[in-house]
Formats: sequence, structure tokens, C-alpha cells
Amino acid sequence: MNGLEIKDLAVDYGNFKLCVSLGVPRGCVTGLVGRNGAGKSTLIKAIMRQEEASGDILYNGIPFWGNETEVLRKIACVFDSPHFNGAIKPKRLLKIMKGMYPAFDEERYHGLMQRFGLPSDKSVRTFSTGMKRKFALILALCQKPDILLLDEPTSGVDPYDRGAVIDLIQEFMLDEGHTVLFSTHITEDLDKIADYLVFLQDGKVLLAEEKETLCESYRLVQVPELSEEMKEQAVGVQKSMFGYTFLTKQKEVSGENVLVKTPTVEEIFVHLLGEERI
Amino acid sequence: MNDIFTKKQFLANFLPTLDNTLYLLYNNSRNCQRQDVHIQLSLQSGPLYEQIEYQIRAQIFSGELKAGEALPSIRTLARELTIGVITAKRAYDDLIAEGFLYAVQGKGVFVSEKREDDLVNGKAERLRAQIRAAKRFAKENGISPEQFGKILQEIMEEENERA
Repeated sequence: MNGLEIKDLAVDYGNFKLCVSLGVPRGCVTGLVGRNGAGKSTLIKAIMRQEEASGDILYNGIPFWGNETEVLRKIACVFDSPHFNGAIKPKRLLKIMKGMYPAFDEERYHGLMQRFGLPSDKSVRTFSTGMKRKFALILALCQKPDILLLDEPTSGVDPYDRGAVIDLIQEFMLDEGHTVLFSTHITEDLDKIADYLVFLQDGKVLLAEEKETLCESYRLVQVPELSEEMKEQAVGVQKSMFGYTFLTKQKEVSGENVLVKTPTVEEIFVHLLGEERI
Repeated sequence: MNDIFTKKQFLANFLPTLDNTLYLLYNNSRNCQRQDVHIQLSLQSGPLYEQIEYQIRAQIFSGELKAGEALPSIRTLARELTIGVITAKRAYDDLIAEGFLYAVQGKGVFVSEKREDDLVNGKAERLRAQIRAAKRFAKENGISPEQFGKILQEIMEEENERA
């Protein structure tokens, strides 16, 4: 079963339209990638019901309409910028969260606050970017959601704290009934922990596939000269002073001075979503 | 005043290459130590599931992992090594298919009984892993299987001459 089953979800901003049908597998981490303005945040907001959208979404098989409270208590989100007032202190926010989410895990909250050295009696405004991200993630996790949505949870966070954020996500994934959808520009994180990848382009799903299968279905090729034969099979050709780099689905690419390797998520991103430069 | 290093000088102080540095410091302290399974992954040496398979096989052959011993669950392995759940599952599935591990529903994954020919296999397995790495290099660099075979033959003959 899919953690999220999205059917004909549509958001219309006039100059931008998002139109998505997508299954997000349960028990897995799905990475959402796309260039700025591709619609990643809009999609996450629409799933969180914070954006007016048409179409249907099933949350662990449950439709939203008719089960609003149940669904909203089972999904949690970390947005790219924290939604709370900067003057508020974690202590006060905890009370609000406990009121909103009866299942809020206070013990876990205190444990995590201590583990990451976050103070309960200083206003959130005084937190660094990394502290704010960790704090937002702690609040989301302690709601005990089944589906966790993350919008750029690691951007602007130093490598050590990024490791901590990634570990929290993986700790959440220890339960196989949990689902994570995770948008990021830091493709290195996806290389590590993502099981599935979804590429968004201009509000549409360009492709959705298992990460390893996707990376292994492509070869990244570097050649000094681009032959006509190569041109036909090449995707996202990028020219540099020293030659050409492109993706291809061909299994065997050979020739003199041809370098071939399995691409990383970053390389697939650049070549699939970038403009060709020949 | 402190000296300012170029990036290269700075990194030369660490053994790992640029790709690995900061994460390695973080990951190393958390590498899978439980139940005496030691696995270290490198982003540069081939598919991660193959690295896991190779290292578990090697530890079974060397006797570090004994028959009946429990391995970490798929999801624990994924977390401890900072890899995807599917990658971890693939490594275990392959090892189960090869007969090195077996799964008990609801209990976990365990090391299988040793087979007679394992000692020979153990050394052969290491050799196989190295040849596999060479084969991958050959494939990625457009060296045909025939050429690869020929090179292998040449190396064997070199050895004979020296002997």
C-alpha cells in the first residue's frame, strides 16, 4: 500500500499550474527534487491541506474528506521556514502543541530537546538556522505522525547537524508503517537515504522511480568530441572547454578517451532538469 | 596567527578524500558495531549493497560471524549506515538467496550453518570481489570482455615467468 496516493491533484495560481498524480510508497523515504519554482513546496502544502487544490489524496488509504481530524493528526510537516512566531519560547509552544495533538509525546520531546541541546526558555528567534530546523523536526516527530513531509529540512544546516537531521528521519523510518516525503536541493542526502525519487518539472511529475534502479539505468559519459551517433542517444548534453558530458540509457558506450560512470542523483538532476548547453 | 592552508593541504591531513570527509567523521563513530558486525562503506567503491554483501560474507568466512548469530534488522542497518531501506533490503535478500543468511518471520535475519567448502570459498570470494571490481572498471571504460580476458591471461603469464 502507498502512504500517499495522489490522484489528479491540481493547484492553479494563474501563471503556474501544478498537476500531479503520484504514489508515495509506505515504509520508504521518497525524495522530491526539482528546480526552484517546479512546485515542490506547493505540492507539500497541498498534501498538508494548506493550499486549495482539486483532486483526491488518500493518506494510508484514508480519504481526507470525512476524516479531516484523523488525517491531520497523522500527517506532520517541517516547512522550509518555521511557521511559529519568533518571540515564542519552546516551553509555551509545547503547551499549544499538547492542546492541538492529544497524542503529543512529551517525554520524547524533552528527550530530543536535551539530545540536541536546545533550550526551552529562550525565544525561538534567538535560535540559529540549524537549531530552528531541528526544533521544527522535533515538534513534527512528537506529534507521532505516520506520514512525515519535509520541505528542505537540511538547507542552511551545517554538515554535522544535517547528519543529525538525517538520523532523526531514519529513526522515524525504523517503523515500517511510516512514510517520508522529503524535498531537497541537497542531493547528497538523497544519494544516501532516499529509496524513491520523484522529479518535478513545471508542476508535473517528470519521473518517479526507485533511486538505485534510476541511477543504474543511466550512464554518465564524458567525451572530447560528440559523434552523431552519440547525439541521438544523449540526454542533457553539457559542453565545457574540454568536451561534452551527457546521460545515456545505452549500456555500452566505448571509444577512445570516453569516460563512463554511474551517475549520482546530482548528475541526473543537472542533466535531466538543466538546459542543454551545446 | 594561524596558518592558512590550501584545500589540498588541509585535506591531506585526513586520509579520506573530499567526498567523504565531514560525513565520515560523523559516520565513523556510528558505524554498525552492534552484534560485532563491522561494515564500512565508501561512496567511491561500487554499489553500496555489494559492499555490504562482500563485508558480511567475508566476516562469515573468517568466523567473526557465527552460525545462528542475529544480524541487525533491515531498518536498523539502514539507519546505522545512513543508507536507504531498499539498499539494505537488497543486500540481505541477495545474501539470503545465496544461502549465507536466513530469515525467520517476525524474528529477524540470522547467519546460516557453515558449509564444508566454505574455507576455500572464503578465499575465492575475496578474489572474486577484486576481479569483479576490475571487470566493472573495464566495462565502464569500454574494454571488451575479450580484451579483459587477454589482460588477465597476460598477468597470469607474467607471474609464471617470475616463478
